[in-house]
Amino acid sequence: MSARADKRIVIIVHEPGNRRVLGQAVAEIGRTPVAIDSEDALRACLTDDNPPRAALVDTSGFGHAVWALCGLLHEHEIPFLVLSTAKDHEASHRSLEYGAASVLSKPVTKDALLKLLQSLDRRDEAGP
Amino acid sequence: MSSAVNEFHAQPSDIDQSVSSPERLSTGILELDEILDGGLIARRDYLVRGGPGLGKTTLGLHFLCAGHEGERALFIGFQESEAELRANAASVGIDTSNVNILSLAESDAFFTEAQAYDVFAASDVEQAPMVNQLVEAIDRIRPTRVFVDSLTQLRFVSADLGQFRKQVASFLRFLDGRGATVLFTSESTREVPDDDLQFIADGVIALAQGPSSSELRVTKFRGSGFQRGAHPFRVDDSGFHVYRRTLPPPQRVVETAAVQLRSGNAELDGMLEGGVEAGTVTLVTGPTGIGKSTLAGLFAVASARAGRPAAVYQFEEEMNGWLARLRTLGVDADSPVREGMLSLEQVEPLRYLAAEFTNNVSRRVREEGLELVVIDSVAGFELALGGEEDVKQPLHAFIKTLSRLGVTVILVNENHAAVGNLQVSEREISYVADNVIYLAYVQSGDALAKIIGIMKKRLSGFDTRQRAFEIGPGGIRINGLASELGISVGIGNTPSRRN
Repeated sequence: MSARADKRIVIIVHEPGNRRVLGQAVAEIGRTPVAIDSEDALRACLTDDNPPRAALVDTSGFGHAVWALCGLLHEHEIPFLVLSTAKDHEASHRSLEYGAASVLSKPVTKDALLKLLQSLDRRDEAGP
Repeated sequence: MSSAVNEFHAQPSDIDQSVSSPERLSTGILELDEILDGGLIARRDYLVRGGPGLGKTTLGLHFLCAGHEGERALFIGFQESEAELRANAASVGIDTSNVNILSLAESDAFFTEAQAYDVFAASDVEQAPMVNQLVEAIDRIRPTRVFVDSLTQLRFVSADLGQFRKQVASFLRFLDGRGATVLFTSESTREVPDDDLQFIADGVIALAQGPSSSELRVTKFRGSGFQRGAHPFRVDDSGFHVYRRTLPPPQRVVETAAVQLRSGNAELDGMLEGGVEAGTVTLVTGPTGIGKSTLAGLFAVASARAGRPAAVYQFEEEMNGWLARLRTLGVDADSPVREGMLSLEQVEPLRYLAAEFTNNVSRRVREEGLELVVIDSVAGFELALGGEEDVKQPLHAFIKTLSRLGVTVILVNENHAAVGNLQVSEREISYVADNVIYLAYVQSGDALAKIIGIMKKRLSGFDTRQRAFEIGPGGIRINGLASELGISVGIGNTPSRRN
């Protein structure tokens, strides 16, 4: 499989520890994690010849900038899941407003997250 | 059996003899092997529990290093790096060069590179890689001895308590199936107790801080007898040392005529109808400065001269001073010391735990054939070895042990009898004595005279009459009947209840 054909999942996560374990989990289901931490980097990724199949967004650590990133994902019709702390109700609401497929409270069960992620990857279901 | 185990202390009442003899592994600590009736039963799992800093890891290191040549040992640690573990072992005198170490501790990068995470539970992230590392290491090394420090860490990578118990049971079965004997530690807190691990383990060795020393107890040992109770222990730069609680051996019926040990003073030996019988306990009691230590020394010197090795344990007086005094009295203790028939030990305060001291003396009796032991004095024994600990019980057990081994014991006891009064002991010690020799001051005109008498002698008759004596050439000089000199002494106002 060439690098261009990788099934890429964008990981928009500020905390290095979370970025690491989410990247490892994504790799376990045969996807290539692409860590993004800025709007410019996300734009470049989204306009690439091999756009991402889906995205994971952790709202922690970005402040309001995270909503611009969610807006971009929505604009490019990239399905995405949002991870937030259990008590952050505002983040949950706004995530849905910006087009999140679902909002999950941390910590999440790895198996459940990965199954959800696979279900979002409709192109994967459609086959190569 | 992996090591020679001294069965000297085996007590039929303590040990379940009905169990067949399974293969045993040494813990690397001889006295602990004795407490365990010969060591750990092979291919089983044992919990070592206790608070932080008590010596669990040191005990585990001894176990790992006790294997025969060709045995493989594996240390599985969760908190320290391999380098730290080896350095810590070296600091207590343990060479780990033959021990494999699998450290599953996080590196400092976990902190410096902010590798903490909260998106998943630890069980989702760390369990699988940890299990892979464990399986790989165990299959590669094939250890027969495994020490896991601590198994509680698995709790933090398990989804819940039920999963943790299954995980532990499965892990231990995996190790047992590969021929390993496993020691593992726990970290028990009020919030997260380790009761479940105690149920899972085949044996439990509990370490705790006692009133004056650390104590080891075996609380469970499936398929084996073991010696119950608290056994003092210490960890120092030569490792983990446990001092087995002394239990007197069973009493033997002696059919031969009793051997008597003399003091060498003809008058005193006459009062004793020949001397004190071998294997008896003699209490020499009296107020300060009256000559108790000198009198006890006479028995030790006479025993040594008669070819019966003797030892004097001096808890109060400086040994050199004691020897010098005997010299001035014309009692030659130096010759038997030079000839190795008389040994002297100055017991410094806090040097020994009580059980450590009594075990050392018992070992010398077995190995060097001591036949007479002087403890000078009972109060010194309590002060030097007791601290805040109640040493009455170990002292009594010690005395009984020596006596049943056929050792003659001379106990020097200081009492606080007033002039003209007679008192045996304030320490409730006299009931263990077979013989009581009392010394007392009495007013004689303008001076104090000294009186000696025999109050008790279980195995023979004795002269009940009091005599006046002086400390002088030959040790003591007995002058005559006290009654003829118009002096006597009677029971004082504070006799011990059990006297």
